Amino acid sequence: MRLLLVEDDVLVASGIKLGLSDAGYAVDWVGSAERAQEVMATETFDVAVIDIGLPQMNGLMLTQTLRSNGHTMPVLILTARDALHDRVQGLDKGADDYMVKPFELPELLARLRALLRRSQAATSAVLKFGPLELDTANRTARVASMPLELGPREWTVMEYLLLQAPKPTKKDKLLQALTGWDKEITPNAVEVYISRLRAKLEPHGLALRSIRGFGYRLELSTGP
Amino acid sequence: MAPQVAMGPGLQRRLMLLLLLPLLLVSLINIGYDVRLADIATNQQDKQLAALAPSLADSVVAKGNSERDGVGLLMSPAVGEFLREKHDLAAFALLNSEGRVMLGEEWLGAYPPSSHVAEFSSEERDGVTYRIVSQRFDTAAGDLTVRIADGSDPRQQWMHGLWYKVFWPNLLLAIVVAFAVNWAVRRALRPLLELKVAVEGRSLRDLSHLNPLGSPDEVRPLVESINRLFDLVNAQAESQRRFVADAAHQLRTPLAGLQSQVEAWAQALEGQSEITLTTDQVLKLRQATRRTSQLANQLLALSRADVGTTGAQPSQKVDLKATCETILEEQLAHAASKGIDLGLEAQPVRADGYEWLLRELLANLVDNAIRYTPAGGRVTVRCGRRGAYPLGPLQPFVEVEDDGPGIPPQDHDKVLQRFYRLPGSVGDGNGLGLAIADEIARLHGARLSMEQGAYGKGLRIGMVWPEKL
Repeated sequence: MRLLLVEDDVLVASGIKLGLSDAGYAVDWVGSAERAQEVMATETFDVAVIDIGLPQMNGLMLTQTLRSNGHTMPVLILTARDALHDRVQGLDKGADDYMVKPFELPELLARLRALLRRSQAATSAVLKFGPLELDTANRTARVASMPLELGPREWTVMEYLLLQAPKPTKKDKLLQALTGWDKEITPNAVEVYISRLRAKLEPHGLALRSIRGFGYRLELSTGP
Repeated sequence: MAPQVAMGPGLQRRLMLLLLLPLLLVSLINIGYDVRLADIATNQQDKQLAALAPSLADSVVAKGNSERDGVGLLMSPAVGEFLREKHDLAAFALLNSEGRVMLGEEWLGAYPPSSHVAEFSSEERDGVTYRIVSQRFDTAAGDLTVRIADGSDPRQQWMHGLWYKVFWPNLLLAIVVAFAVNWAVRRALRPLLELKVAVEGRSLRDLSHLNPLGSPDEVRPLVESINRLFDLVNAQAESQRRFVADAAHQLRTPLAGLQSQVEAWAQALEGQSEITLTTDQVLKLRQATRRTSQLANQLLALSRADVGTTGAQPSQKVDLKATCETILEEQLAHAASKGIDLGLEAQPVRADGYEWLLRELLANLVDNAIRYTPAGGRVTVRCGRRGAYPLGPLQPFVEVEDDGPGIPPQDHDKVLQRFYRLPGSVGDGNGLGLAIADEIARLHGARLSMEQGAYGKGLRIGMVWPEKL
């Protein structure tokens, strides 16, 4: 994954670069919006991380310019101000997500994974989470490169969980999705499909955690 | 226009107008009355002239010898007295039937009236308006017309009098009133101007009370209001000063840890190109930086929760269930990493408030619960409606319950103070979370309430909306 990092603070930038490189990203770091535009003119990136507080042209303007130039890759904005106005403005200018500085590296990695998965889903129709792969075009599932048999309702539930991961999915959402199959479905039915999916996923290091009063979350199980 | 600048002239203008308008009205009435008086005087003058005309006709005793001689006249005492009295403002003439002057002033020559009834006219001569009576008589000298002119026209005198009796006195009065108003307004407003000077002279460092006893009764409430405002600003400034001092002190601790670590490594690097760090050292460093970051975030949150920042924007109907769900999603990873079962018991409910502040409140409560509840514990976020007191009306509430160590009832007040941490508390809190939550609850007209959790342990902490916000 090629990632463009636009950040003028050397300490922050080198920290992010080190962390992201370790996580397998090929990071190109530039210190200004102007430099970023030069690089973008010749290179293509899978995702961009842009700081708002850049020396001349700021990150919001850069994002806007990139979007108006037809660049569609996901953009994550970094900001030291967490005023609501900044967040809304960032998303309005075409950013896909934002993070408030200071942040923790695992959080940044999780956000980037989610962004990339969503942009891939839009282009390639293959959803991935850990060892799990869902080809939404052919409606086939693979886990650890092995075919995974899923019933149509199980597929629907799986697709929802995967699109949301690592965020949890609300139980009402799953219920709504399933009413497409059965008109009178009970919340218990959702639990039935969840437990079936659990049985199929758990041997491969994937867990479906129940969130009390909320729903379920697809996660990589920590233990054996 | 700034109100304090407009106050003096504004009041002055208004007072002046209010005083001068009646004055003008009185002058007009005065003039009207004078006109009536002049009319009455004119009538009297006509009567007098009408009475004199026959006397003059009677004074004609003989016909003159020739046309040129005129007539023989023996002036009656009444006419003689009149002419003497009016001196050169009176004149008379006797005209023959062709209108030629037989006797008296040449200028009074005129065509005789057709009848024997007295006729009145006014004539201007040398700047004097004469009232003239003309009447035909059959006298001893034949058919003659008698004309008597009286230049002491009361109307004209009234015109003169108008200037002296009405215009000048009123003008003088108006000028006196203007000066008096100016002086009186200045004098009456002096306490306000003095107050203005006293308030302008104050700096933020000197907001001691103004002395209300030096002001008149009407201004005293204003002085007292200003003093109350000073008290508020003082309290605010004092709490800000204390907060900044506390904040700086609190930031020092984790920064000192970080600095000592890095200084030590820098020292160890003397003459070497690299050193080896142990996992433990790096993790400790990360712990310290995360604490510093968290502290900075919380200090910001606290400053934003201050009343001043929300004043500009109105509160909205907040979907509490959605807010609780957002918080749950945000904190799930944190809870999972500590092995805590974070759950939700949310009824759909909306309440007046500030969504971002309520999120901050819940985030702090959930963060606290996860922080102090041991692994394997349960933390539950709730919202819904309940009575603030038994049998009270159902009001929206949010709360977070955990089954951790809880807070002893005697410490409930203390933990809401900024930077206060319970003695012997575990974890790396900074004593700000609950203070922020309480500040936000206050902004919503409530306070943070605390009680023991459901199973006789842990903590249930949250806020119930007051009946009217």
